[in-house]
Amino acid sequence: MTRELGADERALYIVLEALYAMGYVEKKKDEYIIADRARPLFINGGKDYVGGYIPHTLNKLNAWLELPQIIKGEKIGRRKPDNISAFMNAMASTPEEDIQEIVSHCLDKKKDAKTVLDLGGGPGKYSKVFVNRGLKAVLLDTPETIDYVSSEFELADIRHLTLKKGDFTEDEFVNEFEELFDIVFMGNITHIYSEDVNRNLLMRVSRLLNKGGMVAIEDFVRGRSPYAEMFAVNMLANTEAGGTWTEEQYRKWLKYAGFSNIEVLDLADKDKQLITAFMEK
Amino acid sequence: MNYEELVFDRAIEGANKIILLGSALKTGLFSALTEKKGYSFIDTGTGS
Repeated sequence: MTRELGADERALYIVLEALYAMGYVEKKKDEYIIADRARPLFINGGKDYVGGYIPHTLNKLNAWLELPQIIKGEKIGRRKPDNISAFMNAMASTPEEDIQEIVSHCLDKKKDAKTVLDLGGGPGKYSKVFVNRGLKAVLLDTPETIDYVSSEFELADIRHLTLKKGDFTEDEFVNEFEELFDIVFMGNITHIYSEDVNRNLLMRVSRLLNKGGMVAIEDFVRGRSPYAEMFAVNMLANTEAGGTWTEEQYRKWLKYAGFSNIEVLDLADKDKQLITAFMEK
Repeated sequence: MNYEELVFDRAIEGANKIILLGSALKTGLFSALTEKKGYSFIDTGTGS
């Protein structure tokens, strides 16, 4: 086993014994095997699976440990996930029912939608649900993310789903599209960036929408989500200028970009909100 | 405040466990332990 994992023997022994003490590993005769209670948590990928986001949590903790320096003023750039697999699997661990709820809200608000642009859509969980509801979807993300998810999440050959490489923080990205969309969906995007970047991003999004098109933003809204303040600490540790933003800030950016009919909806568990706004018809 | 009051010793123990489990996952330990044959105890040279 030390050879297979490239592991240190002493470390492996101590860790296996600790996992045995916690009940996640069993000993049968003279062998270690995974305990039955650990399989759904760490192996199976079902509804109890936590193996998707715990490795990413570990990566995040590395950043949190630098908070003393950050509080003292040390500046950091946006940390690129050191392991795209851990990051994408964490993104993909959003419960299916949450995604179904969000897509349902989007389509209730924009009943005639036929096309959607999923900005920074990563593992494609939202895009796939939009496609299953009859829309044509374009998922845009960084080149390395698209390369990874197209194979690992089997997105490459899904009918009515197009994968596109690009950087939506750059002005030029708007020019790379020949079509306009009925919905631009932005899930967990705005917390990564500063007010200025978000305002400019929404300006670009407005140029990608058809008349009467809708932007839908899913995120933690300060003052409405009970987790917004703590999540902002995560962004303090991991981004140059990200954070969580108030409803007033979202409304200001959206109006500046030409949107109207702005609504903020608390999602079922109230962890997050869905903000929708429309371009003029 | 929206969070439950922190019980420090439990929280620290929880953090240790998450780091241990995360490390086991990241290094493929759990997957390796699903092999049918299992893995024999390691001779640590301590007589244990």
